[in-house]
Amino acid sequence: MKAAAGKVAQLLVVMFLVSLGTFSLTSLMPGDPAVAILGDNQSPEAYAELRDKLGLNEPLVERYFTWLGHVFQGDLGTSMVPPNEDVTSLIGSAFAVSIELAVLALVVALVVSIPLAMISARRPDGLLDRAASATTFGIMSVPSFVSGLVLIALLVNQLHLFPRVGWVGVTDGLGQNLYHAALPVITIALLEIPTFTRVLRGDLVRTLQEDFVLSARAKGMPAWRIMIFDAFRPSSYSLITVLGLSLAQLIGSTVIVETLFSLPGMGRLVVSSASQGNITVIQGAVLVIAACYVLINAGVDLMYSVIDPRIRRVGA
Amino acid sequence: MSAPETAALAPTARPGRRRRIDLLLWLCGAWLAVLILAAITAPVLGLQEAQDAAKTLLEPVYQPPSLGSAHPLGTNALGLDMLSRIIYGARVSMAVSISAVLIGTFVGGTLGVVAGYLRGTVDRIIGTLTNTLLAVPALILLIALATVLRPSALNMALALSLVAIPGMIRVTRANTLAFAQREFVTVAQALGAGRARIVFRELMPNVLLSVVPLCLVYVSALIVAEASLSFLGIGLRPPQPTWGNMIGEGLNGKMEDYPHLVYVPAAVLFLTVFSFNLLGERMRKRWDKREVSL
Amino acid sequence: MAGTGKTHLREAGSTLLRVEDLQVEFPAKGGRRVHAVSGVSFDVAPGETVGFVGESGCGKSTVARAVMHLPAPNSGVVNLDDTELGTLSAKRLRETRVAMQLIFQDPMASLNPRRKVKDLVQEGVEIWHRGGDRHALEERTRELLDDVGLDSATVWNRYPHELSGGQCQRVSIARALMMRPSLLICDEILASLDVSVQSQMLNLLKRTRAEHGLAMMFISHDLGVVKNISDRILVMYLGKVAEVLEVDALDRETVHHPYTQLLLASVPRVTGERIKPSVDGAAQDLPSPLNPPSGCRFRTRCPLATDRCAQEEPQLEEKRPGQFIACHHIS
Repeated sequence: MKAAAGKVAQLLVVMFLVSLGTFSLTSLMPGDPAVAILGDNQSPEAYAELRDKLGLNEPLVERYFTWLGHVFQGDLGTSMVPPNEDVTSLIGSAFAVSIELAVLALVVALVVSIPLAMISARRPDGLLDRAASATTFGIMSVPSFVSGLVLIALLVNQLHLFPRVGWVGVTDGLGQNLYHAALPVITIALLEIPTFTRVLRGDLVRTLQEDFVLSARAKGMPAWRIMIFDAFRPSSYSLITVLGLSLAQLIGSTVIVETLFSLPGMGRLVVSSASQGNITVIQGAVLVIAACYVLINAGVDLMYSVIDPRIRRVGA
Repeated sequence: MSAPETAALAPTARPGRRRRIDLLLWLCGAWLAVLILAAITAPVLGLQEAQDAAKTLLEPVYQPPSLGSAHPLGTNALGLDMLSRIIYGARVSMAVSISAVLIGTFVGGTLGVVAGYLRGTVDRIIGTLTNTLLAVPALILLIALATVLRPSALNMALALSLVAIPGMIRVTRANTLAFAQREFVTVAQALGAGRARIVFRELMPNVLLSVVPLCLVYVSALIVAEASLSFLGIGLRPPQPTWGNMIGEGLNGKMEDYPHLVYVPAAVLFLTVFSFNLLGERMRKRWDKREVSL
Repeated sequence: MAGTGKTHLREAGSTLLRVEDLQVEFPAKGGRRVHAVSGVSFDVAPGETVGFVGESGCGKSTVARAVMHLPAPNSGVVNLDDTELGTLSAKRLRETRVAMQLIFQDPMASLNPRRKVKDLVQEGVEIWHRGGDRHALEERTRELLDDVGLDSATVWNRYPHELSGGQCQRVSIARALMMRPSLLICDEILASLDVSVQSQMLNLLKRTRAEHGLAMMFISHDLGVVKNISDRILVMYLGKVAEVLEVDALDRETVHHPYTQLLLASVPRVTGERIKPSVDGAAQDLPSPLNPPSGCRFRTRCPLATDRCAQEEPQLEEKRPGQFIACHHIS
């Protein structure tokens, strides 16, 4: 219990530091932020108005707490770029798209990597294992914008299997939604499959050498049964850690894919805001994503204690 | 007193590895060597124009790769030579990524060793900082910084080093904890070594060496990160060629007609990333083996 | 048993090292404390070898480190040549304890893997810049390496991982001797070596001890080995001293502390008969040092234990000439 309280406290400190870092982004801007945002051919009144809106005339600490107060009320400010929409709602709709992509990609990655890891672990250093390990190692070295482009060339331009760009929400029909999400999801999943497979394979190989597996084998249980019912669960801890870490990272990975496929998610929002110097949107996005990361990791910690009541995990 | 034991100094033979794998390793090493050499000597290689479209008005545009011609890897929309752009792109990518890793290793390594050796409050503070940096996904962090910073090579290296720092802190800290418990540290204290000597002479050489494979992996990760930013159009901008913005040029429907615009830089990027990854992986495996035998 | 007491200490002026009431505790999880060493006293005369024997976990290695103040004990007095180490400044402590040198069980872990043999052996001299001229230093290093049974020309530029365990241990000994110590602390230095190498190493230690006039603290779980090299033996149990005796008393006297009996019974003897099976209690585990038994710490495994043993802690008393035992039931 005391450990849990410590964890929560640390998470709060982390969030505080993230918010501080996010807030101070504006002060990293070279020169006058107002000029940086509006360009240098506006009227002095426009600059003054923006400076006032940014609160640049107040002291820094005061500005930070005003900003933080708004954030706590769910108000992330308004977009710097016309039509000056509400950042919270902008992020809200984009976030839904990204989360769907991330979760689907995670599922696809697991569906591929769990059997792949099991097949590899069956005969370590066997032909299948070596082939799988070489393939995953190769995939690991392909940046997602390259694999995305290759998939487009192959599946869209040659085989016409999937749409090139565009997004259809779940509300307009699940089938169409999945049809449009498929290629982006595969592209993102390709990023995670190597890591998942390698981590799980390593743990499976170790578990399969343990005595209880040997005794199960001695009793004549078929190898696939042992793999699925005996070895998988005790081997899944590292995978869960990696999973928790990657779900948050995945929201980052969607950046590339959303740009590539023109999907209206967080990534695209962030990228377009970045090129417009739309700092309030960036700040909001960073905060939301960091909060996700922190919450997911707290969840993963909690999951350990559910799966393994001993929680004897020394070191991480 | 024991002549036989002295005579039988173990030869440092290693079990022979399979030749195929060795070959792959050598190929990767050779690729990186050639690339780095070309990047360093680029100005004296007599390459075609890479940046200034005004000088290539008479050159063919969208020429596909053809090894015998003046443009072995083809030209782009402005008639700029792809080979030359690849090599100048390598200059930027390598310089930025390698310096980012060096900065990251220096800063992260120092913080990690200090945290691991001093423990206690210092360790907790550094740990919280690490978690904070990790809380924002690398690419998002980079985009956020790109929003406010001028896209110069130096800023890029500094921003990228922030990506490498948390991992470096974690690994060097863990290694420091492990090494600090080894008896050789206690023996050094018994011999009269002070704190600074323990940190710099006993711990640092061991910890830093164990980080070399990670450094290689980070170089490849940061090359990808830098390319990603350029690809998204928020990194180093054209006409300055980088592999990322070269691939980005191929978007917007040009890829279908002129696939070499994408495939040439993508292949180079893949080969380079793969080589760094492989080198790091092989090195880690060998070290692990030796750690076991120690 | 497992008593305290200082009756076995000799006159202060006659000893090189005098340790009184050494206590070492480590913090454990949940705010508890590991009582690793609880009130151990002993002394070592110049040129004398004192053997420390006991099961693993009895605190004998902790005693060795506490004597070196690596880390310093929680309480107790360590006097080296009439200098009390606990009162020294950090710098003076570093200077003073160079007269004591440590050798550990794991020969590989004791050597920095990134250093060559020549640098390892010269490390201490380098720290104190007392090498004199390079040439003389190198000569002395080679001499010491040859002395400990290594071929200095061959090992000079080698790294530890290119040497065998025995060779590494010899490097450690040479490195310790470089500092011209008056006391050598050997912590289980034979445990990780092959039996054939063990006896070579014992001979080396005996020769070195004679040549350099060294006193030694020789720590081992193996009573047979300790008996072979020591002048006096300290039997430790769970952070306390059970018995202190001169080495010839070990076989001469028939009455011992029950724990010493147990150790004696577990030393295999080649008598033509089969090795005797271990006596009762030997199979039991050591109680936890987190929560040691009251009174005599050995009572949970002792065949003689009575209520009194739980109430009252026995003190070391001279029960026979040259033999101090901490037990209520031995007179």
